[in-house]
Amino acid sequence: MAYLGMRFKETWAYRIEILMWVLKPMLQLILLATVWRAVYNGHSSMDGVPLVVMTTYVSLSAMHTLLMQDNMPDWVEERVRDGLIGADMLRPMSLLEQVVWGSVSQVIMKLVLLVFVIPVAAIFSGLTPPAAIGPYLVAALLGWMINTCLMMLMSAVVFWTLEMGGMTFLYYTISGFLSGALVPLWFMPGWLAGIIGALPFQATVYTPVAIYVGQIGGGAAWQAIGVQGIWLVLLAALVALVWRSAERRVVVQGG
Amino acid sequence: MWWQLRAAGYLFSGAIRGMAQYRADVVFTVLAGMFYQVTTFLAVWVILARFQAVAGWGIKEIALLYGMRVFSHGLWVLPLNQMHQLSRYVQEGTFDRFLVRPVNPLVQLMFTRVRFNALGDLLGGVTLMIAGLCMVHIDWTVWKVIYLVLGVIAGAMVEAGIQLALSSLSFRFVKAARARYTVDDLFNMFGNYPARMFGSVGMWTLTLIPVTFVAYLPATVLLDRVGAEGIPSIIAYLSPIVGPMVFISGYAIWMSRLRDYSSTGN
Repeated sequence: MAYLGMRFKETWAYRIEILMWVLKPMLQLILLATVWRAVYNGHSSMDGVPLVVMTTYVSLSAMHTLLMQDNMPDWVEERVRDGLIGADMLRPMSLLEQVVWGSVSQVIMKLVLLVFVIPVAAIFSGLTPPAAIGPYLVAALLGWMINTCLMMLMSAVVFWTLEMGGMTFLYYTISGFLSGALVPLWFMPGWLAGIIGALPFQATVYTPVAIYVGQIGGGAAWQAIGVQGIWLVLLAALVALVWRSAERRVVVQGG
Repeated sequence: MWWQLRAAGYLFSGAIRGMAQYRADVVFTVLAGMFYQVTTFLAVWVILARFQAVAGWGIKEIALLYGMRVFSHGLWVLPLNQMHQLSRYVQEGTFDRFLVRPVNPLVQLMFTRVRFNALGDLLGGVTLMIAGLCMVHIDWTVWKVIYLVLGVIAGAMVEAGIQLALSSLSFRFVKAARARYTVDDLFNMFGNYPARMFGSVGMWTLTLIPVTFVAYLPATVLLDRVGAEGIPSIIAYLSPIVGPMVFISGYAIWMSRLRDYSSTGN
């Protein structure tokens, strides 16, 4: 708990910058809502999907994308490069736990910042109440956890390369599309939806948001949550494996 | 002028030698940049594969518009991307070194270090633009060829001018770079779509900012759609003039802010 407080202070130091972060999701949801209104071209429903479902979808997915962006890769890169990682490893808390608490402090901060995004979404895009609040909250939490695992896997790369370079950028680019944040899976051509459906990225944004707007409902919602659960277990195991050998590498390097 | 160019040449060759150490990273970032443009366009393509048109623009026309925009973007980012170091140079006092040398500080900023990240945008943009040009029907005349070339260069100048003006904020405020990134996001997001889709208020706002001058207005002229888009044709046809105007103003603002610059005192 004390450690979380410390990470909070670290995040708080960047409060102005974080405030600027909320501008991008606002722009994104205004743009995407406009695109969808234009393609609907006056129709209130397309393929059985009402326009208001689409605008709510883009509002929510922009917010989820904001929650999933995290400075973890930069933090790990900085610690490894400056050798601070050695001191971090001496703490009574494992390195992995420290990284997780860092993400927790950021997501809490951003949840508060959604206060600014929600009115913009309601006015310029669309925002209906959730179709199923319980399953949505479960799926949102699982989605965030899966994303944190993916980030941890990516951050571990720095232990080998010492240089993240375009890696973080590439990750956000790939996950931006594969998470379904730009286009929902139901409007994708079958083959593409098939590929994306088999990857873990769609479990981070698409699953919770589709449950929120009711495109995945009833039993299908719990089934999608089950898929999220399977991804979480698989990825968490992979994270544990990769980070164990990463930490061993630090020892070899001498910190 | 001649001395400035020679100095730029010296700095540039030094920077190239410095960069040669990171060859793998260069290739990687170029690929990442290209991939970024490909996936964002992929999103548009997926939408249009299902819905055919957005605001009367089909996938071919949007490919041309998108390609011209990204090409222009790469064209200014390639020489001027070191602008993002300005905040840091000012903060660390490195910038003071630029001021005591007899070479234009902007030239020094541009060439002391170089990055080729924007090659990805450039390659992606050119490919998409050529694909668009091959697919759409354009009644080619000599004027249109000249107009295309000028349009792309002017588009780069619009963005460069705005970014230059905003980067001069770094002389005063340490965290000013964020404002520049947000405006860059705005151009990256809204510049790639036909502005008519934002309604007349949205379109005029984007024209004032002036996002539409980068690619939308030149593309509209090339496609002979000026009448259909509801913009006064004079604004559309004269759009290549706005580029140099914005760039010169941006440069003037940068230089005048520079005169007010006082060192952080390192």
